Amino acid sequence: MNQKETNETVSGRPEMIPTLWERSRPGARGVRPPVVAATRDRELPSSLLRQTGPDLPCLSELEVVRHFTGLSHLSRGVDTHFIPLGSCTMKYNPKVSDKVASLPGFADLHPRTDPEGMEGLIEAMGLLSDLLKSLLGMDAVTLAPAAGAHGELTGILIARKYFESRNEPARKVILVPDSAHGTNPASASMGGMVVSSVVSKPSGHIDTEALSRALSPETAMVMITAPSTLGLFEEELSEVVRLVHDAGALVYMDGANMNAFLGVLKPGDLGFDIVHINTHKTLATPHGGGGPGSGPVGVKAHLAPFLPPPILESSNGRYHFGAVREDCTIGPVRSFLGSVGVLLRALSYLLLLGREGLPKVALYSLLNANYLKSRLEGVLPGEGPGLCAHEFVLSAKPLAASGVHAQDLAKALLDAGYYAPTIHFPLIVPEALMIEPTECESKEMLDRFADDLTRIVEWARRDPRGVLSSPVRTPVSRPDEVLAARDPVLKEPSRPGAGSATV
Amino acid sequence: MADFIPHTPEETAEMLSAIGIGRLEDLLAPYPKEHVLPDLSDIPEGMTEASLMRRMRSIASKNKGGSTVAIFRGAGAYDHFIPEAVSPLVMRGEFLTAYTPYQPEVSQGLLQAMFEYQTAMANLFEMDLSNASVYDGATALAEACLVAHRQDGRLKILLSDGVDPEVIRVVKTYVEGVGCSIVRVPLTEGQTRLSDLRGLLDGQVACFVGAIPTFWGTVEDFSGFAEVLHQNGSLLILHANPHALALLRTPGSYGADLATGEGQPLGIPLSGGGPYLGILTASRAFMRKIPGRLVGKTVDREGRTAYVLTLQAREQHIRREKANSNICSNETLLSIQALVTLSLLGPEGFREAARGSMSNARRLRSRLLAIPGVRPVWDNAPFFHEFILEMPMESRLLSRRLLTEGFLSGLPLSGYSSPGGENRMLWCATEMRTAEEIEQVGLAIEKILRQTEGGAR
Amino acid sequence: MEKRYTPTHEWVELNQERSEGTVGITDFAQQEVTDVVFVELPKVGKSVPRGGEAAIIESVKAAFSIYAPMGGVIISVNQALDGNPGLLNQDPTGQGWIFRLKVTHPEEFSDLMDEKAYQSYLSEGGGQPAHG
Repeated sequence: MNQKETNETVSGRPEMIPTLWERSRPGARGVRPPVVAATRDRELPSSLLRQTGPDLPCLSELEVVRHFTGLSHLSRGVDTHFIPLGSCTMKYNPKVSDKVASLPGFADLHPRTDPEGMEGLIEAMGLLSDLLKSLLGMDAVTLAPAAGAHGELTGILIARKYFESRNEPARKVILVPDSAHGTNPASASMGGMVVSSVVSKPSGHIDTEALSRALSPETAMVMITAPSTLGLFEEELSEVVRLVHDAGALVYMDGANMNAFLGVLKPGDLGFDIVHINTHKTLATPHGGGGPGSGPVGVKAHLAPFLPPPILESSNGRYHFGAVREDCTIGPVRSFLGSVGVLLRALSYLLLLGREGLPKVALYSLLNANYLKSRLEGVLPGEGPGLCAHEFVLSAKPLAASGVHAQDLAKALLDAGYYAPTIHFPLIVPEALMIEPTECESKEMLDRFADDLTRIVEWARRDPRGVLSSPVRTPVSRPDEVLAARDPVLKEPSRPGAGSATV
Repeated sequence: MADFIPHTPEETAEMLSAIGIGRLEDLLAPYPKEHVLPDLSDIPEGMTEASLMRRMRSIASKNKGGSTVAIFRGAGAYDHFIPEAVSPLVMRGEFLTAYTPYQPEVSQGLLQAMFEYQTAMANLFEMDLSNASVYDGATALAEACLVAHRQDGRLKILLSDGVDPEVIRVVKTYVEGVGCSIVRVPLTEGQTRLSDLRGLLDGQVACFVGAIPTFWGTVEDFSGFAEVLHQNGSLLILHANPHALALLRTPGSYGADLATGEGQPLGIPLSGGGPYLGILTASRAFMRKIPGRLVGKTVDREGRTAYVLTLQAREQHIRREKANSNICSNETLLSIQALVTLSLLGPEGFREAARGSMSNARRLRSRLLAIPGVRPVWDNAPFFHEFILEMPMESRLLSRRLLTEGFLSGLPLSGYSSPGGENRMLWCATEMRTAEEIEQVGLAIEKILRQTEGGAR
Repeated sequence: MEKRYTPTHEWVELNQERSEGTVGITDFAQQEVTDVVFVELPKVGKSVPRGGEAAIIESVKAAFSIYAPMGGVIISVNQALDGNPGLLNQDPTGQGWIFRLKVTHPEEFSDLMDEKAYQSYLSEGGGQPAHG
């Protein structure tokens, strides 16, 4: 654990460390780049050269290694802690997948290599496309999007182009349930569409009557998170899909919660036209502290011509880049083929699990969520009886009168040795704590977590002020976010004379 | 064969009984019966780690990566020196497997690294501030153009022909979504003429985008551009290669309002095209207008230095459809990778690497120009580490032939509009190339030309 | 000077000539918003319809739209909020005013709630400021 390796101060908190610039010792050198004999040939005029700097830290290699190792001790990952963040699917990231991505031939492959020199990459990405098509129940896939939200934007632009091609340019409205992730409405407006919110039922399910009223000849698409952000399968999903299709619109599935379906339910079978999958959630690629992710998008056949390039196709058992319909495609959404290093990890994961292992992901993620839900049901109010999917939401509202909010429980959990659940989301549940254990956590860990959260809730009832002072064992207590936002300090101060070495 | 599920059969049984159901499959009750547990026969059986590694090694060996060919190609992705200490540090589980640092108390290491990255980029670009990353260079530029559009709804994005044509296509995808159109500004001998720019300005121009260096390798002088644009109420955006900024005049020094770049040259492996790193920097006036995460320095309750994600009210999880962008996951780990690389090299090593690129590119150019039939293009334009040459044969064919000889040649510019052309190639040499490799690629071209009947047209 | 109120918790006060209105948010709204960290002020010269979004107030965790209680053209904004957004918390109905507008239809004033009506609106649980 972190604390063992870090100096503890008298307060019992691990100590923060100085910045690279505070540590910098002008003149110190780290690693030397290759030696290249200088040439005076065609030197650039000084008017095209920078006059100072750049102001970067000067440190020895060991100092840099200690700096970043020290920083790592002040953070938590799946490798060190249970991270029960709802809708984030913080499962184990297999080390073998990291190894695959670093293999020579993959890691050192230039993206503009002639196709003859990237047959292996084309094969790997083709295999992944086929596996995703099958698991998503879709006819075509793009691997290009760099994240889930990027996949959403891709889906929005596809819908837009599709309706333009059908001479229905008036279809500009994207309907989004109020329980949706913020990326849904943000992606829709980024794609130049008009967002309209649909109110959910108190249970968190889509209100089909409200939806029917909202559907119009201007509706382009309805974005649905399945299972919902409350961890529930929409009870009337097939009715919802029928309504939307009858209105001439498309149905998009936000696949952020696809872990609950992996290998047991195909979005395409449910009638969705477009779906994205977050590889950094469902397919066990590392989150990296906020990326890189990857958000492949699957579509049904009628939307395939609109996908961004490149698309991988196979003929006679060999993969190749398919022809791009220039009159239809939305155009590229990023440089090059995709986040190959991430996609290779996703492929490795799918190949390791195979047809027997994949359904177990969904089954055990449901098992863990329902088990933990059963352990916590009496502790804080939740969605009530009945099965949840891969995650569930509790409400800390009963504690609010004593001044303790969901956020405070989260902070106390940090002291207990966990990362916190997702808090204050979904917006439709007051004081929400959204918990997703994933299939990778053991019963022992879930029991310990349930015991600790139970203890913290009891503590909050007994001694709210104690909980409000949490966390006390972390490197810092709660940061002053108002100060940070009122007068933002976004970089180290410039050092007079620093980096003034001649260029 | 692997499933990363820790449960023993006994534990599974206990858990099922606690839930009050008999079988695992009963958990699927809320799902529509007609669709659950679909046929997966088109998915192969699972593999062991050993068999996976064997298979993936075999697939990887079909690629011609830097371990089997000497890379003389850039065009947006570059083979640079990456210190060995970078990977072990970046791959530490506390960074690699962390979530976005929404809980700052247990994410101080990650947040401090992001803050240090923001400092390094601001200093490198000589801009007031940097965000914590976006997807890649192309989307960084697209986002910057959208910031310019949102200023007051202007609809024209002026893009220099010096910007990578593929990046331009990505920008087009993004800005067309909100109704903007792209107007190209021509290059003359590798340089945008201020008079050409002036002629295109009107009340609808949101911004002009120039490149440092251009896609074609030339280095332009953007002096005076900011003044002309600002008088028109338009922004100056510069899209820069961060490796080149070790030596070249910076976006900040030209008075750019926003500056972007592809961070791959800063210690990120080529990796077939990604994941890379989108750099987005800005002057202070745009602090609350730019998309993406920002880390700020503040204090905790006892006054200790602490770092937090800040200015979050710009972002999608709060502003929803009114957010500056939909971006959520970004490229944090790669921003740390760039920071670690720059820290290990230090300012001196970083400049040495860039000087090495320039020297090698000049050596390569001289060697190739010594081949009969090879001719310079834009001979007098200053260049950084890439340059165009007219080759004596069709460029795609030459590229394929050189690949079999162990070289990834310059990028074939067949199919590119001017200054591209059927026989033209965009060559690049970084600090990683050796004098021997430069000589050998020259010899290989000479051999191919001899073998190609009538090769010298 | 009499203030009138909107259901979205803005106040407006007219000058003697009833040609110019000063707009801010109520004390209730400032408490709901919590610590204001930034105010996005409108551009002077911009015309806003009644009920149109005129400014945005940001707290650490949320953003709130400020709607024009009456239609008009923005004639000045409270620059003091730029350097000191906390003024909105300290004195929302005085020094924390947000903008002034030249009103198009002075008679719109009488459509708004007076102090008494607003207080009873609040005591009936008059909702929260609309999320931006």
